[in-house]
Amino acid sequence: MTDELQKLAKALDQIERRYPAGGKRYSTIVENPYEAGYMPFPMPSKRAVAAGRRLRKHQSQSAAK
Amino acid sequence: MGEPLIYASLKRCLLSDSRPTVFPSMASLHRLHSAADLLTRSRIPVAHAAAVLAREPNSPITRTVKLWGDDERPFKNLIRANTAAAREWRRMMGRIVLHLECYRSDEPVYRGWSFPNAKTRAAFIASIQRRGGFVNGRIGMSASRTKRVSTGRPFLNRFGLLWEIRRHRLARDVSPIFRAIGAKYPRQREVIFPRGCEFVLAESPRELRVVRGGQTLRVPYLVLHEV
Repeated sequence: MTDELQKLAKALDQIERRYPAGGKRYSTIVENPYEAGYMPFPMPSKRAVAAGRRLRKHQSQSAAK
Repeated sequence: MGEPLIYASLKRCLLSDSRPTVFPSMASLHRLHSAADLLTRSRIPVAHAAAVLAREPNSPITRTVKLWGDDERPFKNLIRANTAAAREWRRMMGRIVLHLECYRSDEPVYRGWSFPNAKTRAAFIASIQRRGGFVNGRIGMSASRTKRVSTGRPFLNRFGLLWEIRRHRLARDVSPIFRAIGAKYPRQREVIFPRGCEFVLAESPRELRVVRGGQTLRVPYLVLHEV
């Protein structure tokens, strides 16, 4: 635990040196790689895809009633 | 520590016929003594974590969380940088988020997206429609408990889109922590979804009209459910 905290403290010191606080917020709007379009997101699991399909089917059926 | 109290109580109960007189609640099992305990305990009530982190502003754990809460240049570089320090920050931040208690509410949460142009936005939406959902591959994904925050200028531009996330299960409400540790933007009512959260598209995209500063934006509005 202490080792982990020391490692983290060292990393934070490096971060503070490298990226000093006070940078302007939202200096460029597009910072998120998903938004910038260069990072494809992972595929949802088969379970999630099936759940989504069931959900949309249920929604469309209840809307039709 | 809660454990010795439990053991003593159980022992007393087993050795005698009497019912235990002192039986600590489950909450006390997750009692934190220091900020570092956030790395080892789980299902920690957020209010409790906030109080402990506020008490230890110089702890590496508090500093780690504050980097997210300040949401400035360091954070934006850290979330994707490939340096050893950034990787360490992400690893620890991920652990901390996972150890917090989940936010339970029937109210949806919202996330605004900003894109550089309509083409990139269309590709993003098409990808979600093709796959039927979205998986958060990053260390955490922020959202807000209020639509007003998510449709604000920093989060939604004219090429943006808005998500409404219903039936969320794994979000962590970090706003009490940000308020307690003096993070720069404590009023965004932020929740964080940990890595690996899966969202499915529940309805066909609609259009949302957002009136902001006298201008009307028409942005796609997607309803997702967490699965």
